[in-house]
Amino acid sequence: MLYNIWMGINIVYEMLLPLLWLVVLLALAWGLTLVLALKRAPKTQWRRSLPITALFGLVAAALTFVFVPILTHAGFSDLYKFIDWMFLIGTALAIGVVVMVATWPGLTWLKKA
Amino acid sequence: MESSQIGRRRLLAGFAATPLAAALAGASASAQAQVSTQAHIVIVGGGTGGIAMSNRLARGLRGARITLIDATERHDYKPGFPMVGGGVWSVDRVLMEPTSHHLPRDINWVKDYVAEFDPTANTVVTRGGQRIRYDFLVVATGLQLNYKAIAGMDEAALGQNGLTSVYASPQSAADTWKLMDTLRRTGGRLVTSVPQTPIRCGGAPVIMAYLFDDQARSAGTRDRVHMHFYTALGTLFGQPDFNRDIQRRFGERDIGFSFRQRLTGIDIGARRATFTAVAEGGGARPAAAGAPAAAAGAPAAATGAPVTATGAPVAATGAQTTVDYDFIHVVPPMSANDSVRNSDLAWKEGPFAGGGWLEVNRETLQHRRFPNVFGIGDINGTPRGKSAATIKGSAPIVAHNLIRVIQNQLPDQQFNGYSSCPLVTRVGSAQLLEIDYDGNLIPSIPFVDPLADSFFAWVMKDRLLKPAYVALLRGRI
Repeated sequence: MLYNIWMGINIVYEMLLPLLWLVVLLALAWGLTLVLALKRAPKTQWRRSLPITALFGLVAAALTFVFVPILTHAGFSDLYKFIDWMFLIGTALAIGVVVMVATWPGLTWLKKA
Repeated sequence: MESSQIGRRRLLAGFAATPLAAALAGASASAQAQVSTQAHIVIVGGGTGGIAMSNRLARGLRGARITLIDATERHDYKPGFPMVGGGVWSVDRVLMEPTSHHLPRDINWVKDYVAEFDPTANTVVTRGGQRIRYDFLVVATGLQLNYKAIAGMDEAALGQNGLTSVYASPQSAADTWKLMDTLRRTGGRLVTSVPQTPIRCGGAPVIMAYLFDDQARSAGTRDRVHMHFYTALGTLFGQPDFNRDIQRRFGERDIGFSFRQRLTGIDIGARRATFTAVAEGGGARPAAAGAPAAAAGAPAAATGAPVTATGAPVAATGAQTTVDYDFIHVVPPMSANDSVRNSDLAWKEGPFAGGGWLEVNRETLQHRRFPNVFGIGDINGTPRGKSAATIKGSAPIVAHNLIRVIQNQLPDQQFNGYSSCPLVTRVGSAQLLEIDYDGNLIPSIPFVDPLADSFFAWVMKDRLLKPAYVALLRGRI
């Protein structure tokens, strides 16, 4: 199991490596917005920005759910098995969570601004 | 300029990888304390196995001198060739960074080919005449494609006159699709051939047949494309469950097939292939030994094919059949490289002697007569077809066992022959085949039925396995 996780991390790492400059840029931007939000936004602001953040995550998850089959030359008719649906739903949820985490500080800070 | 770019890339990659490595170092199969040694280790072959071993040994040994011998400076993603030939991928998806990009920093890279092995003197001789002594040797030469074993065949003619083969190069894979795309518009007779020798990526010929069929169906011209699959073997696939499944699918998809028919000649200009009937048993790959004969009730072969309804040849052994085609996909006979084949390292008797394959213990992958020699990948004279997954399974074991031998210990890890291939059944769907030496199905992912069509297996093939392959080259998985 640990080996499969290790392999999964390696796959994601290798997929992101060609876009490393973009990942670093986004990480820096995220860090900056996190610092700004932590410094300037009151704690209640984090909770108030959560619904819009969740909406962003939901939209990202929905788009992933729709577009992963298309981007892999496949369609929903190719999903027969439980594992296929779990894989697609899991991928969509993971992307949704990543988008939520990525946008939450920025949205909190923007709401304050 | 190039080296500075590589250096920068490595620095960035290393920076990014550090937290990952630290977090899961214990989970990595390559996690192993460094062993100090002054030994000189020579790795012959800069393909998947050679590069992966270079990285693993560089990480596992301190003070060792590691030499890689191979003149090939470009590394292609060969598992993707069928995807290019089947019109799913563009050719750029199988082109990778130069070999130098994947090698460890301190390796001594001799850009030449080995012409001669002298294991008694612990020496290899390169084509350029350089004699290189070693303390330990890893043979990772891969295999050689013997197009010339087919009379009239000209590798340079691939991509013209309906002559194709995805095995030769990325360009030949791209040309395969170009000609297939033409055929599915015009219609015609499509022929594929499989030799009786062990081949690289044993699922590829079947994948090509499935993709040709699917692409013609997508174009709405399948009824105008007449497909026939000739194999020199007695089965369509070495693993019995998959063999039955492929026969069923071929029947359903109107892909005719003939057993024990070996492509022995080709008239490129006239688009005519000559098949010669192979004796029962004489056409069996060592990997497929013991596989059942064609199942009764298998679909009738296409009209005009020299087989019975069960797929058995009606022609006597040695009888020749000439087939006209508009498009042919040739899987060339394959063997060990001549340098290994002609050396004392090759099997001298038994089922692997004919191809000149490396005589290794199938569990430890240590040479049976020269304990300071190990083998990895296609060159090994072990059962079943090899794939990149075979190297994924065996590289940690070979590295571990070699390091033990360097320390004057006996190898203690055993390889079960793991091989894997997402067998693409059509665009958007694949089966996840994972087998061991004995042909047992050994699925590593729960809930995945190996024989079921799966979108997940397809996504693995289409998106996930190439990044995994790069991690394999780097010796991380």
